[in-house]
Amino acid sequence: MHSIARKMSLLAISASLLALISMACSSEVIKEVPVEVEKVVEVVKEVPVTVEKIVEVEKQVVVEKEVEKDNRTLLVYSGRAEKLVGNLFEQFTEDTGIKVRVKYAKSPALAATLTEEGENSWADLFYSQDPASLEAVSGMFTQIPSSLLSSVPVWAKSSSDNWIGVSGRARVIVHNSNVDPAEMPSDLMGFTDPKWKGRIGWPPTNGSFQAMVTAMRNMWGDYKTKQWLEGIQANDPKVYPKNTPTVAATADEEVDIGFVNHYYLHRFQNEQGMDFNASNHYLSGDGPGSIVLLSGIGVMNHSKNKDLAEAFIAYTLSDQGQKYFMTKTFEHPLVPGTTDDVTGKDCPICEVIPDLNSIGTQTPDYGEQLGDLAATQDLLRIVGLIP
Amino acid sequence: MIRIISSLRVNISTPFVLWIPVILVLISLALPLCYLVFRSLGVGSELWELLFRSRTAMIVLRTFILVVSVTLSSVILGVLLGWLTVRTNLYWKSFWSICFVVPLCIPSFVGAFVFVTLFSPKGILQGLLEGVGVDRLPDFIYGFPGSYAVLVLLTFPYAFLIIRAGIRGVDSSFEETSRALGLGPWKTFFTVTLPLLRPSLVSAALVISLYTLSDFGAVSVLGYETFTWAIFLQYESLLGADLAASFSLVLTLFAIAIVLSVYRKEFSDHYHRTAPGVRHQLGVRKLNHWQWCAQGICALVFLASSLLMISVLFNWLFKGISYTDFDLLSFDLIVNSVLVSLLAAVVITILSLATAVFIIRYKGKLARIIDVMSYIGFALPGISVALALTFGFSQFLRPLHQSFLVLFMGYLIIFIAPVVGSIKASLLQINPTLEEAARSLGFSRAKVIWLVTVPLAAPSLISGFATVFLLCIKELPVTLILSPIGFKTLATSSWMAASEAYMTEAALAGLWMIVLASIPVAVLLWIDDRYAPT
Repeated sequence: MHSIARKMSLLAISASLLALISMACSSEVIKEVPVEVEKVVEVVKEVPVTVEKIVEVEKQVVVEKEVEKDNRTLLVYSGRAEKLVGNLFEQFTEDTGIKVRVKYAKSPALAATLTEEGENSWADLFYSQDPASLEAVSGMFTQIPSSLLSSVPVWAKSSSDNWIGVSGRARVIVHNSNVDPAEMPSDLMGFTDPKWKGRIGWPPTNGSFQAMVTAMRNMWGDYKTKQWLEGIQANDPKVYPKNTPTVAATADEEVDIGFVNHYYLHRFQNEQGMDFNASNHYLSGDGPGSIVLLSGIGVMNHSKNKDLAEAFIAYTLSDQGQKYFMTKTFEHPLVPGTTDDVTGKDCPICEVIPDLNSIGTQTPDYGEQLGDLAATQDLLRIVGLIP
Repeated sequence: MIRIISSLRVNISTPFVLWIPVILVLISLALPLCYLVFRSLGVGSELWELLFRSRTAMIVLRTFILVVSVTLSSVILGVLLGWLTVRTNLYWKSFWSICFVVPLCIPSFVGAFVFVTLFSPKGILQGLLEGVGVDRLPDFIYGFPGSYAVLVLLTFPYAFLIIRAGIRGVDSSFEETSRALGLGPWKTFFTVTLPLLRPSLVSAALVISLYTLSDFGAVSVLGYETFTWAIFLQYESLLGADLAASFSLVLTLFAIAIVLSVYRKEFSDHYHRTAPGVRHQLGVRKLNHWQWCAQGICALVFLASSLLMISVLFNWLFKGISYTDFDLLSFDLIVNSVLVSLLAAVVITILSLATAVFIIRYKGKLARIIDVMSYIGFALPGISVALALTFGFSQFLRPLHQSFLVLFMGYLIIFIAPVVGSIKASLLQINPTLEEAARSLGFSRAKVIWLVTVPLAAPSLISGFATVFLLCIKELPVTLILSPIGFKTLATSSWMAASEAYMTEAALAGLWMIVLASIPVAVLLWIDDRYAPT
């Protein structure tokens, strides 16, 4: 019995040796058991297999080395919604290989978070929906390289060069079919006319609205701004919490016009079709009713990944990045010349968005306006629009 | 000084298993308060100027009116529905119980948006009435009426869950005695059952009033200016982080005032039998011809609180499907939401049990302080709590900053109130002699809690667990700020989508939240029904 078992085990061992082990070992096997020529051929067949394996291992090593070399991840605080810029981050990772992790929240909340964290924040980069939030933490930013700054118009960056605008949205009058664009006044002051009584909707607590009032104070002075606010209030405007419900209420004919940013309408059009019951009217005068507001980026001074952050800024300002804003979020690109080759076939909504140059673009100095935001809110408090 | 310290001394025999969780809870609750005081120190006279303007007085008055009216209505609704589903032969009891909990997982801003869509002057309702010649509805939805309606419909489930557990725990021999002594069923209900339910009623009232105090979503969408709304505006304006903190501190004082105003000696009263006998429940009351009336009430509540919301969400969804190429939600979001909420619910329920046992069974000054403090987190706006933890951990314990541990701590602070409230109420209905008997038989204090207290308080533990789970599923400000970078839940992505007018995605995430939340609640209520004492 023992001998049979031993033979069996020997057979098994030799078979496995034949199948698995290298040439040197198999020569030993040949000595003990008479091996046919065919089996030698089998061994030869296996050689390329092992060679292939070696190649694979080498490839893996190379990949690992690459990963280790660029294992850093860009950590982003984004005040812009994932729905707006999530795909932009994905495209960026795809094109550059730089990994990105994002915390999404409202820009002011993130600015408050950064203020609490100080140098201990994990964030490398703050991508804000509005310049005010950027200005609130601008002391924590590093300088943006001039090569990047030069690609946007001078007005689309902070005066101290520590944040940069990457896309713009225009202030407009959204209106429904009850309003003939021909009867629109050329200037915001025209809406204090009693014929607009009960027809106006506005979001006075909204950041973009307050930025507009700040611009208004810069252009008109406090006295005239207060007159305007009181004039509109005399027309019994409906108060909404923000832009979206204002646009929705205009389309529902709850009000006839609303003071909002241009792109909320296009989101509704994108979801509900171009027969959505509202359109944008761009005021023809170059008063505070036709300013352009920015979304922008600042790089944290304490960040160890400043190069990655700058790579991201460069990507948003590239042709690809700027076209993304135009066709996906329906914003105004800031780099001149981006609009030239976008046709209505690519983006039907882009057709109804006018070129930035055709609007009487007013370009407030955001750096100087920060001090003014407090004064704006004081004014809004005096007329009773905010607590 | 020594006297103060010695008066704070509690029963030294408090077991270790209680001490550790109680200290953990105490530290968590103290953190945001310390932060708010610290931040408020930087505010000078401007705070007083702001606080003593006539406008501020109006805001306080508005807040007060809303809190009182919502609380009263929700508690009455909670008693009615709790009694119907526990004490009567209402058909489809379990189904209705589940329906009444669903609104807990509807974020209040979604509820408010839905109401605006339905009832605004040119809303869906007007569209339906167009044929009858209604061109425009009167403007009744904005301001107080809308905020009141939405908040009642979204908060009555707290009252329902807490009071339901309370009714379950009422020892019916009291009622039987009352009936045997010749009092009618109504009189018995008002003179015996309701007073016995007082701990549950107080808990429910506190939870709802503090929730209303801290709600931002509904009042901001419907344009009703409350104190919390003012705090959010301070944060939004970027200038007043310190000012916002001091406003939050004032809100905290309001909350303490509310808690103390209902916080009498009642927790030293007895709500359990002291004579020999077995605790039991009255057999169900036959509704007979009232059955259909009761069914009508249940259906109406369900329609207004969940069905309308769900159908409007579906409406948004279908409107969008035809125009957008539409990506179904990623599986990750669902897994994230469920895992985090489940884990948070387990942790918070355990810590709440320890806290409640400590407050009720080991009375003392410290117990009373924890009791009052446990309510405060619920009244604070989420963003204040989130920023407090952000400051604390980023400055002093950076490795933990924006980790899940801190996220759970945030949830604990803002959600411990309803759970502790519910468990406390049911502990009062358990005769401590039962636990003492187990002690005398040689069980350790820890073992007594596990083998005697937990099974007896099970209904309230279950309702507490379900409440935290649902609250976490829909929680926003704390999740947004405290979660690790890149972590997303259904609530965060739904809110993100809605705030940018992507209603289709918002609706989809909202519906997912409702579905996910309903499953565990259904299971828990089913267990509750099966193993409840009859």
